[in-house]
Amino acid sequence: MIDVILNTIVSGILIGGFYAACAIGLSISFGMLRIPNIAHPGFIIAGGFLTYYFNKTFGLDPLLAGLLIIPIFFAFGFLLYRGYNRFFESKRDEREGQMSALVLFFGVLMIIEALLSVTFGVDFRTVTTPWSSIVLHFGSVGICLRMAVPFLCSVLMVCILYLYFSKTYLGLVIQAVAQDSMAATLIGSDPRFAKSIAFGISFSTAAYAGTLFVCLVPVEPSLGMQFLGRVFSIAILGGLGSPLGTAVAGLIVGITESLTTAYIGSSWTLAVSFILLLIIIAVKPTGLFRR
Amino acid sequence: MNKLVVNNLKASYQSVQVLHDVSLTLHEGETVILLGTNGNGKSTVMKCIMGMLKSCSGEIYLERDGQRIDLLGKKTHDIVNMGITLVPEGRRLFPYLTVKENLVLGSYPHHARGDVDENLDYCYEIFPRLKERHRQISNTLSGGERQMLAIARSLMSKPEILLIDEASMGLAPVIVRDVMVQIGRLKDQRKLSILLTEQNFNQAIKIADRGYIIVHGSISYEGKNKDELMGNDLVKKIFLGIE
Amino acid sequence: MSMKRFGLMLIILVVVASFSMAGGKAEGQEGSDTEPIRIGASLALTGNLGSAGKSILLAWQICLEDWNAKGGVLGRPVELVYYDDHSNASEVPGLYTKLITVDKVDFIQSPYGTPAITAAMPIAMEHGMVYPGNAALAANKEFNYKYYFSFWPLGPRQVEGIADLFFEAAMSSGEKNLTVAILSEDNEYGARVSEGALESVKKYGLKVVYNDRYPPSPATVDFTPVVRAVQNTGADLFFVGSFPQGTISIIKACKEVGYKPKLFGGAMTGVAYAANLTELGPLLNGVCACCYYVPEPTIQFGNVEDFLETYQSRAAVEGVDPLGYYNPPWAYSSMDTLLKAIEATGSLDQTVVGDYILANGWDSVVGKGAWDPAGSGEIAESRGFLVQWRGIESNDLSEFMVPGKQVIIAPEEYQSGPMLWPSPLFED
Ligand SMILES: Nc1ncnc2c1ncn2[C@@H]1O[C@H](COP(=O)(O)OP(=O)(O)OP(=O)(O)O)[C@@H](O)[C@H]1O
Ligand SMILES: [Mg+2]
Repeated sequence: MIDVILNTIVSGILIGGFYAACAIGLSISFGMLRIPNIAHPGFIIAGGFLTYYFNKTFGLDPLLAGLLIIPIFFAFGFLLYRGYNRFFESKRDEREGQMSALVLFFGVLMIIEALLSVTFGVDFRTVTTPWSSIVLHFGSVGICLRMAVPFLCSVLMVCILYLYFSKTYLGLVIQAVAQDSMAATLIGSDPRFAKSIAFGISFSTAAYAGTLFVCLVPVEPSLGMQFLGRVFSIAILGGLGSPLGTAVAGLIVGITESLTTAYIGSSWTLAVSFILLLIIIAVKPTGLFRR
Repeated sequence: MNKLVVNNLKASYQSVQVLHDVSLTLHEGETVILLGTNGNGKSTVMKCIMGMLKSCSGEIYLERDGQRIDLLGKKTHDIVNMGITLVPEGRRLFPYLTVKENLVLGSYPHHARGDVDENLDYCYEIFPRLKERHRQISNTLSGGERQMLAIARSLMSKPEILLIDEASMGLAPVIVRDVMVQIGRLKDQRKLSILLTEQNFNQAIKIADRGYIIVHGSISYEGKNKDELMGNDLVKKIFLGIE
Repeated sequence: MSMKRFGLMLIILVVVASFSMAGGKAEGQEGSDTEPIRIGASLALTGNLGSAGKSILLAWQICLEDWNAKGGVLGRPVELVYYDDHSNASEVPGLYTKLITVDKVDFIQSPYGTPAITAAMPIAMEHGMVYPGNAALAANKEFNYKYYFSFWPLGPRQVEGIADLFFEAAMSSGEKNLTVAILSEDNEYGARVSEGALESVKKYGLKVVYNDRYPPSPATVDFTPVVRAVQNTGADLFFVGSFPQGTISIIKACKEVGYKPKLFGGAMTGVAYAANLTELGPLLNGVCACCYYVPEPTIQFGNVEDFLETYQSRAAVEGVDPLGYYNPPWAYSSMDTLLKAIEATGSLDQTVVGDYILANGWDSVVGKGAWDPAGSGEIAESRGFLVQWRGIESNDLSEFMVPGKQVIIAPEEYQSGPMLWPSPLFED
């Protein structure tokens, strides 16, 4: 009995970590930069497919391939913000800008899906590595590396981001810009540069989350659109803009889902985690960790 | 002699002109006050100097070691990196960061980064309250503490010229006095040039070397020293309530 | 400035629109003297069903090429007019209205899959069009449309029938008191599979110890908790009704948590696709699933082997599913039967052609047969069978192209080898 509980919770923790990796970039772009990048899950899937491509073509380990695509995504995010700033942010008031940005990013999401379908086909793709099928046993708890490795990578990612945003100049400046852009210029920073970096980081996390995604389960191009709801809920639940909050939110959702599946029935999984989200948002409207 | 010069400055917000003709000079090591009642354009002058307002014309320049450096048209963050900094009206702290994080951010300009620890110690020394509360989230500070933090944060960038817009706003008279005393000390210890806008004449005059009075967007009087300012009719009428 | 902004919005809109409307394409012989006969359809060429849609398109194209090479139908070339419906059933009615009223095609083929096929059914009925269906489950249940012909191998009992095969196989082991776990995806397909399984279980007097549905992907990313819940019941038979992603993940999860039921699988879709087969490789050993074609000697359906040879040589080039065991033979037959009827009747009249197909049944590369006499539009007898994988040693596609590795264990009619009991799951 206790074995089942333990195993279930461990599963929840492992998948929760992965959820956090998916949501953390959105937490940065939406939470810190106020850019409603609903194309984020699309970029996750794109990262997954690129990882798949590097793995299949050059036989690279997916975790390594993921590192290689990060600079591409970073540069893309960096430049995309420049364009966004030029055409959307600096030209209109915030509300209006966000509305049209929503349309923009919806279009981007669709374009990504179309491009992926054309380039990679519409089959489910996944990456299997030598470690994928290994299961480690700790007493009665079994941990499969297919789940555990993405979890560890996610934890590492959250830690790096946490340290970056709280300990480095540029990280702090990004937070400062998010809180008061005018004051940020008065400390001698260039908000546009800081935001470009932040958007690049957000994209990099999407890329690597995608890498972890293809290691976990098969993905296909339209998955991005379908994954949108969950990624947004976790980002909001965590308190937008907080890496640690996102991590905790991911774990909460993961564990809840896992326990619901095991003890209430898997058909309740979505409903229960949604109710949980509503309760937390009702009690703490800014999410778990927003100060 | 190094100085900051503002000459024939004009500025407007959406085609409404609010500065008509402002000229003033801030010499090295001086504390100058810019006096004026609400809505006469004090903050606008500050914004123009900091490059925060696009629609201004005239001349704003630094004279350093005999060289002239134009400020008009430069970006705010570049101006900050030249050693000019502003404590803005309303303080504008980073509300969800801690006191210490706010201070560290003040040292963002490259020339200040090397001396963060030294500057932190200095700030904690002149404002011991900040040291006690260095882990507190800044939007939970009291008004006076916030003003201290705003000034301390601007000092972290090792400025040569410090602009302070309404140092006393919203503060109790006792605190205003404390803040003024600290500003006065700063000038001596750090060889700062300070341009201060104020409505509280009595407090400001204690630390001022000289001052200007701005009325409806133009400099209407320049006082060469404390006595001249105190004796001026306009000052008497506007700030001291003496008819 | 506002012009610039407007311009940008316009560009975005145009780009988005051009992707989403990706215009209809007509294919066929150009420069022919006679007007071509035009067959219209929408297909899921992108979106989550795109893999199937593309393989169907290729099958149709091969069929038309075959006919055109023989001189066309009624001496006229045949041409395909098709649109992408993005796997979105709500786009389908509009596309069919356009095909019939604007493009004025002579005949239509259905889109892919139950939701899309049902969505276009009223349009086909309204215009009295012959409506050959491509892979739907009981799409005609509510409509009872006379000219709907389902080219799908499940027969009148539909997916519910898959459960019969599975439990029949389990019963043939002779073991008593077997317990059953039923797990299916929370969608229409899964619901019907579960329903059929419950009926079947009752028929054979088995005991159900677990019965649940999981939220469709991607809501369920991790299947280990649900599989562990099943494992915990200790069920002997694990019957699964899943869509491709679930299929792969559930098989992996079973292996990971070390759950080895005596018989495992059933209505798991996706196992006919090369990408999934090669992904799973040796993990498939011992697993059972319903299939419609495998290269076993007992399968003698028309000249399906010849068709698959052509298909496979083309698929490799065009980047669609390289095996073609699932939809393509039936899609080819659907098109072929329609063209044969036109040729035989010498008519382009929907009633004449429809009545002919109704009376003469289906006849093409998948063999021939009649329609369900009850008028459901389904084929009269199921052509599905249960495969149990064995001896798969690698993740290479060639593993799945030779006999002996995908052994048919039920029904008796097609059986090509003994069932392995209890199934030696995941053993290389
Ligand atoms: N952003 C703005 N848009 C339009 N008008 C503005 C703006 N900011 C200031 N003004 C106007 O410009 C004039 C000068 O404003 P400014 O803020 O410089 O006054 P001030 O002397 O600093 O006043 P206070 O002592 O109240 O701070 C005022 O009439 C004000 O209404
Ligand atoms: Mg002011």
